Amino acid sequence: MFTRRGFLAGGLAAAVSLAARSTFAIGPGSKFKFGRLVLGNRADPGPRPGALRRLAWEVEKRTSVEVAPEPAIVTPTSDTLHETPFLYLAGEREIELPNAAGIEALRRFLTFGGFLLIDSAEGSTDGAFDGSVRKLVAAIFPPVGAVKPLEVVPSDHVIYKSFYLLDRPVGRLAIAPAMEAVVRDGRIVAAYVANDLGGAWARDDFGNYDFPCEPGGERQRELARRMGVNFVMYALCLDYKADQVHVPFIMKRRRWKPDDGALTPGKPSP
Amino acid sequence: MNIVLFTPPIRVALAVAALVLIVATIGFVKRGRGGLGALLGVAALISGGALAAEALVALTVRLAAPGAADFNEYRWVFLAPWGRLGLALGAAAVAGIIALAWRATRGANAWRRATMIGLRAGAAVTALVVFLEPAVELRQVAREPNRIAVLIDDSKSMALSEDPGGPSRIERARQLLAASGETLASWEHTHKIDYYTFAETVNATTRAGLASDPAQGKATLIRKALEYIRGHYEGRDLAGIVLVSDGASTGGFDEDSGDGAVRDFLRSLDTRVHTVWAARPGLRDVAVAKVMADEFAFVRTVVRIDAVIRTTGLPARQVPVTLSTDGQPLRQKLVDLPAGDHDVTVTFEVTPPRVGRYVYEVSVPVAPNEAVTSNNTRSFVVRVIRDKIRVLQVAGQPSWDVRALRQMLKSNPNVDLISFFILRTQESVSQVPTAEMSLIPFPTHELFEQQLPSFDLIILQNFAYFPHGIGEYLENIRSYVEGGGGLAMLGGAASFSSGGYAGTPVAAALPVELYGPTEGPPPLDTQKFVPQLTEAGLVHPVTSLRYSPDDNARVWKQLPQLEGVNLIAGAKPDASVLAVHPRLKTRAGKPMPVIVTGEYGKGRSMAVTTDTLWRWGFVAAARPGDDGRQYTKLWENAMRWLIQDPDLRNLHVDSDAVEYAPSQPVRVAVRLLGRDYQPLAGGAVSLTVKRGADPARATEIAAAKIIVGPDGTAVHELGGLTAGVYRVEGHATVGGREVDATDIFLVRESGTELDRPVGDPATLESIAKATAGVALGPVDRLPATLALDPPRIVRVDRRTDVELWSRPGLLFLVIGLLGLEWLLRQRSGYL
Repeated sequence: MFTRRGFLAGGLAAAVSLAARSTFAIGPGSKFKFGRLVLGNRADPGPRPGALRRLAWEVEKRTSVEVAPEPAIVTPTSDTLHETPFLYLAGEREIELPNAAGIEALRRFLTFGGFLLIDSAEGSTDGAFDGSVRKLVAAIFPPVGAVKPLEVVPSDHVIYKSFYLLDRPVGRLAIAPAMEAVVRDGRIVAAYVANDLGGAWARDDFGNYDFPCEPGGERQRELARRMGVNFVMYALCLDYKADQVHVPFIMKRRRWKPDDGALTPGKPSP
Repeated sequence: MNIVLFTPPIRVALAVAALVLIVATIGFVKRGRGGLGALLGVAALISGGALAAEALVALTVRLAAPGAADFNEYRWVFLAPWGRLGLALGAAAVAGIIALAWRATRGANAWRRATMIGLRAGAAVTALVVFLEPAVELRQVAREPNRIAVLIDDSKSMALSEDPGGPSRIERARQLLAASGETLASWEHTHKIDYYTFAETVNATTRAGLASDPAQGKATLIRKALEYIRGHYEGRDLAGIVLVSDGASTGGFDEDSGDGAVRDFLRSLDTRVHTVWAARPGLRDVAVAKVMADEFAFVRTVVRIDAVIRTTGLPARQVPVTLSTDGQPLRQKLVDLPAGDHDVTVTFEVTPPRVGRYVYEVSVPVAPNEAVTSNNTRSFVVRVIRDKIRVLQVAGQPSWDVRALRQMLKSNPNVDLISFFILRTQESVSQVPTAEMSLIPFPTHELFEQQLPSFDLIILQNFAYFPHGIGEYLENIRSYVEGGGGLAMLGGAASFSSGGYAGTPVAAALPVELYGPTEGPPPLDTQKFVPQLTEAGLVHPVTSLRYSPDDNARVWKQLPQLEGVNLIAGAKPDASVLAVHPRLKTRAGKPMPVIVTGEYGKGRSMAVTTDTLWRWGFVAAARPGDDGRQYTKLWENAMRWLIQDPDLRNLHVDSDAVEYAPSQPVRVAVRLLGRDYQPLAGGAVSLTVKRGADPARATEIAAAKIIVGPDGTAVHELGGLTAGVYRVEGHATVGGREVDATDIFLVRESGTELDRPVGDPATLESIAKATAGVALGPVDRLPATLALDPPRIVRVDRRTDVELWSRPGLLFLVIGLLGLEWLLRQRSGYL
């Protein structure tokens, strides 16, 4: 029943909850924060220095996820590696592979729940960075027999529908028709996109995009932004969206409500 | 003793035949049909000869045995050793002699021919007698009286009376015997009467014993009683059985008495069964005749219970049928019962909220002048087990904490997880068409109204109810917990006070006090901290990451830092604070709780005031040798505690069955575990046994103090329990904490004697019909004309043999007959 007391309580609750949403999360540690993985020179800002900040802004504006705008800079052997479960590695040239401790740390990071997005900005699907990526992945997850660690992600994978409905991972470019990924226990632990996602996300301080998107222009940029959001959502929700298909079945699997037509003594009949 | 060969009618018939044949012979001879006349003449002579032979035998015996009058029986015997073959050969020889005589006398006139053949036949028969050496054995015998078994049903249904104040069925049986004195006396001239009562067993009794029989048998096993009689009198002479019963058989005899197998059984009795129906029409009863329910059921899943309501002799009416447990009504249905005798099935569906044993009871009100009231209720036990843990995880926004919990729950094969995450808020910017997004509506009504009770555990994770229109369902969540559900609220900017829950029904179910919107400090603190385990937390099932408290404390100190907490006013007085913030204080100046558990109604709730528990998994896993398992362990513990997993108890009290017969021994197994869940050797457990379905009104009937053995177990035996619902409550102290356990079991009268109290004459009729007896029906006395088998067993006191063949006259008779025949032949010109 709608009562004055209920109305006031609801109003106060609304004020409190909305205020909470628009101020801060419970603490900085509660916010989603990108980790920019640096291999080699820690001072190297990478090919698209502002990309993650822009993606953070997009995720914050488009979703309910609270995002720390500045990414953390981490190396494979950083003590803070596990503070940022979402790592972003971008490159446009050959990269220096980590030492054995770094490889082991990355393997541990990915195995226990971390996510690595590898973004190639070199504009080629078989360049030096691409070769470095494959070596890195093979070092972290050595191939078993003929099975390569990187496998093509089908277009119906939940990563393409974790927030937006997409079918391919376009970025500044659209030269790679699909993304490749390392899958462990049904979970994508590392995704590799050769279409320069960061190039589509990056803006300068005046809000202008750093690079045009080819060949799709602004529509392609929007799709690249959506793909970025989907990566974040996948890392945070895993196969949540895939599960939603099964929810109606799971809901009905257990029938709890008696429908025998009997009355519950003490309650009025319906 | 007069020896006769023929009965009087045969004797008369022979005499008449002889006369008729003579007349016929004369007639045929006069008409010139000599051959036929001769044949008829021979027949006339044979008829007359038979009568003469009988007189001769009687005369011979009288002359040979002057004291024959002292004998009362005789029988024929052959003293010659020829046996049957000799008899056959002798008979063939006599026939051959007659045939030859017939041939040899051709041409003689009819009279002469007949006479000659008759004489030769007589001589041949007489010679045959000499050849076979027949004798008459005279005996003085006495017959043993055989037995009549009178079976009186003394089951409980025989104590019923159809009319209030009228005679009961067992009283009618007594009156029947009393009124049948003359019949019984006449039977006792040639029989002996054995009296038996039968119910589930057969007992010998007397007429005097019947007078005080209370008729308390728990079943009416008619077939078993007849089988007993058959075995008891096997090889003995049974004149017949008189069965007095109401026909309400509980051994299934009434249902298949028309079957071939049953008919064969009845014929195997080899005697007549006369039946008397002790019941009368007009019994009034309504009964819960049968309940059909699975013995096992799954928690929070509908259980179907079918109850058969049997109405007998009552007018058509509507009655409420109630399903109860713990003395409280759960479900009720109004059922239309037609007039007369009918079975009506009522179906109930209930949803057991917790794992364990449930004693349910189906009942119908007592009708006016009802004959049996004890069958108006029926209790039964259902064991409720768990299939999967059904968890609802609702998160206000995706986060690493949400992701960690989802991943943990999804990886647990015993969990059915339904997650709903708010992926976009009202503030989120979207210029994207809905068709290009994978978002779905939040099914609030389905989740929080329709399906809420189906969950074992609800987790609200950084979820503000108001923006999503959940306010109207908060009372459902509260009542869900109160009814036995589990609730966990995890921290976040949209949880506890900052989620606006202060003063809501959900706050009532939480184990913490919340600051209101206008009171207290800012609702959140963002500092990093390592929570400290309290004394309670050291051993609590939720926070026991290690068995040993010392190990547990060490593990907790090594956990990674958390970051930020929701500030709360304090823990509720009856809550258990398991972990606290090292610096922050509550309104009362106590350490700020971080992990708190509590019980609300029949359910349990837990508050975790941080949203960074995920760090105990993923961040901890950064350390070599640490796999982040503590996070999973903590949540597995919490989940089991919240859903009240029976295995998480330190004390277990379990009876060895769920149902017992009255006075059957009940063995209660006690298992006591220490804080580390290892057997607590030598621990003391107080047991209290209470009787009564309603725990609030159950009465204590026994108490005992048990010391468990080295393996932490002990068995306590209870005996002499009467019908009813019993609870065994165990109580012990483990590590300074009070622990309890309860078990429930049922003591119930076995059998279905009063399920169908109405008398059934059809059963008795079919028994009588199959055994050639008489179904007397509802008679008041036994008729003297009832057919009973005569005694078959005799006792021979004296005997003597009279040899017929060795009589001198017999030899003269042969010579005389042959001489006469020879003379006739000579005179007729035959050689």
